[in-house]
Amino acid sequence: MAVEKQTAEQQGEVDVLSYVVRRMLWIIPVLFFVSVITFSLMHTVPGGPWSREKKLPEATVRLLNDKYGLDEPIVAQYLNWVGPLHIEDGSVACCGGILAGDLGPSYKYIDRSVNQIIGDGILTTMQLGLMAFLVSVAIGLPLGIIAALGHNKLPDYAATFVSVLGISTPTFVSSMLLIVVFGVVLGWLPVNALKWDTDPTAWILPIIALSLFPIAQVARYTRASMLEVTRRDYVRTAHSKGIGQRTIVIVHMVRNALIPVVTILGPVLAFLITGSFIIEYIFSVPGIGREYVSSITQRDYGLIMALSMFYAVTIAVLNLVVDVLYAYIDPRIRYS
Amino acid sequence: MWFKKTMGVSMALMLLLAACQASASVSPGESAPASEAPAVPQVLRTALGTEPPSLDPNVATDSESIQVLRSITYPLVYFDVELNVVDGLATYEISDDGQTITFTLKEGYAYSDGQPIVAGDFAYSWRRLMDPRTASEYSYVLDYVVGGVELRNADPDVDDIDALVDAFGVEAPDDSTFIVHLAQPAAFFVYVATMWLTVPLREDMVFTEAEGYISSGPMMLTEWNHNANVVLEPNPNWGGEPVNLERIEMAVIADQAAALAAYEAGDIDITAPPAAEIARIEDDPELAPDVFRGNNLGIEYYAFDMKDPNGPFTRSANLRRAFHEAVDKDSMLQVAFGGVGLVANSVVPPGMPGHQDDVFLPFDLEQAQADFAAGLEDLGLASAADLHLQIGYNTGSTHESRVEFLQQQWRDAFGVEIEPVGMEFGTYLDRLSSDPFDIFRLGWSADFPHPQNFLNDLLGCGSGNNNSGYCNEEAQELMAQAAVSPALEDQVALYNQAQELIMADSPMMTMRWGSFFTLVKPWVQNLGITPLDSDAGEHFYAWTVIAPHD
Repeated sequence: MAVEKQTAEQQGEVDVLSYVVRRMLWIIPVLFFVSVITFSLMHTVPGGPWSREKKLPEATVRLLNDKYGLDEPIVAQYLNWVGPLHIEDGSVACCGGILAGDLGPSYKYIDRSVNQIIGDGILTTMQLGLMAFLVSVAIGLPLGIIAALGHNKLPDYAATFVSVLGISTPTFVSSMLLIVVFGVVLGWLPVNALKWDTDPTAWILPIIALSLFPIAQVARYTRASMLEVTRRDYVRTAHSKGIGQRTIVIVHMVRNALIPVVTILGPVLAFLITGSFIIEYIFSVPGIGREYVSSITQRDYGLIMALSMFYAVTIAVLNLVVDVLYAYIDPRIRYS
Repeated sequence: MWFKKTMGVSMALMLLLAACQASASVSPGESAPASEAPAVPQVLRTALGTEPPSLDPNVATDSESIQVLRSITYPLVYFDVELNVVDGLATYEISDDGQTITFTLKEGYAYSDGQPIVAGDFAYSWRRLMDPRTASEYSYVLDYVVGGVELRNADPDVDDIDALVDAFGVEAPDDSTFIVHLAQPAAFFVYVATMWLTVPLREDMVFTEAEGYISSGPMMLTEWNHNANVVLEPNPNWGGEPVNLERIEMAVIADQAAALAAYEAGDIDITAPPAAEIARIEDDPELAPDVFRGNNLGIEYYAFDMKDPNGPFTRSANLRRAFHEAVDKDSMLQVAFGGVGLVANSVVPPGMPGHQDDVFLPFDLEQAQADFAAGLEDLGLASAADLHLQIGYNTGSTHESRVEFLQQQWRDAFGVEIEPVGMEFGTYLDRLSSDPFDIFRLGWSADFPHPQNFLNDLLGCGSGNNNSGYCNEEAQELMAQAAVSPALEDQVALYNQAQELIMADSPMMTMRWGSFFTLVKPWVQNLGITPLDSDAGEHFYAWTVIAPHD
């Protein structure tokens, strides 16, 4: 018996390991397609990094294109972006591109590389995102559980009201309301995150604004999934065995109800740590989130690619993490 | 160049803010008598709309970078608040033939690292600006220098750049003399020497971080936290008029509404509020006294497409005049521009030599209708319904209401339906270069205060920024004469003639002169505001005084 069990466990570990490796390998073609699609779309859009209201002389545009390799054929430009070989004016040199760890130059921040720009802002963005994630889970989960337990009663209506409000209010509306009420009228909190490194209160409004939507999302998933398990046989059995309500809720209901909730936590976390354009824009957070939109309007190709790939990698990795986590939460799930 | 694009989101925010009618919670406090008032820290706090894209003076082109560079660099000559050229790091002399400018550097100026500023640094900087390997977007301002066009247009892969650099007409015979040789007399050229692009530079300079950044101006760069803020402190080796400020803090606040909130919360001292907020600010007893209005050297205009040889506006000058005469610019300013600025009825802005008031066609509905009928005849069309025209504009800013206003004016006057087409900015600019809309909007602001920079660049035959494709040979001849006339008065007379000829052709409708509507805290004093500022007072920040306040 003991020997058999051990082999089964070992077998399980091998399964998980090969599953993870297989999934990681799958990320490569996914990233390839994402990069090809982003690259083609971005070059299909009319206008370029040198479009100005006050037009540049043609010779200048030609020089700039030559300097940044934008005069190469589009396929060569893509290959140069991927690297590690670098094609220029028909000759091939080493090394550049993302495979050599070089995300390329920025056309807007002329003196800085995309590596520097991302490096400067990524920690701030992830820090803000993680805090908002913790807040979302800490508030969203209990809110959903309370709503489900008080199904069709006051707690349910109250929690549903809060989550509908959170889902349907655009971030820029809620952010502005928060600024006006707590920053300008009451004067309790800083209206922006400029002093975030010295004044922790500067984080409060952006975190609240960023977590309103995910709180609502988590709460609604939790509520729906709790309601579903309420009607399951094992819950009825537990009740009939005379087990206390608290134990039933914690051990039998919440644990099972969490499985579908975990599914959405991956994308929610990915969404939060890659940064929000609106939140960073309105609260002046020195992160990378606000570059998402400005890089596109500026046709800052290197930055657009880097941010899209960052988002794609984050989503892919977190989805994988979620899938692996499943097994620990729900022993019925097996990897194959 | 320095046009700020406001994002669409921020507009929605504005409306929301306006609806809330929030009032600043600045406590009135007891105002202490001036004699007892403690000295306040001389710190000026402003906002930047983005992280400065580049603090390399030869390369920077945007208003944010320039705002920083104005304080940490200094040019050969400068201007006062009335835009008269005054001595900067040098005095200057123009030769009788108007083709040689000799700058004599003043004693006692040094960089923030202690090295003296010498004439060779200008020669280096000007050569570097024009060198195609630098790929500066604004190098064309030195086209008038001997060998300038050849150097700028050279291909680094084919041409001998070093030879062209040697042939470029700048020289520094000794440490205090910098000589510029011009290819043709150009009295206005001295204005180019006021620009941030032409400040002294050294080969060992780096421009990417605050650490190691060497400043030539009254202030120096001490902190540059990317995407967060820029901090300037006085340059200890500054040899000019003593600086008053101890610090300038420039915070990066992308959203204008957020900047206004920061202003109301007392975090910044100067801000340009979004257009939608203007009405609220004017009614707010606490904010209204802080309002500072001014004009700058720019215009906003709607031009007619004359690139398409079969286009209605190419074929009929009557039609162009009719559309122009049917627009009541005064009402438009009130309704669509929020009453900010002044109506523009010529091309060269007020405050610039060569400005003429009201030379464009006046608002005259009857004349417009007569011209419109003549225009239809020119085109061989039976009625207004046969005329299919589009008006193009860039979205995400405040242009929608203006285009709607124009649409309504033309509908009322002629019964004609114009189709508005809005596009994202980059796409829009691309479209204008290749195939402009029948009517399209654009803006323009001065590089230097000379009519050449407006009339010739916008409406000269074949000029790169003449998007409408308009060309009047006679006016072109006058402008060519003006460009080689040594005396400014002669030039102005010629430019005025050219402007009158052009106006009669109605190639564009100028709507409003460039203007700013800025909030400045009452304790910010001695803020020298010029029509070349993109943010009020940016040229003279170092000398502002922070008065005692609560």
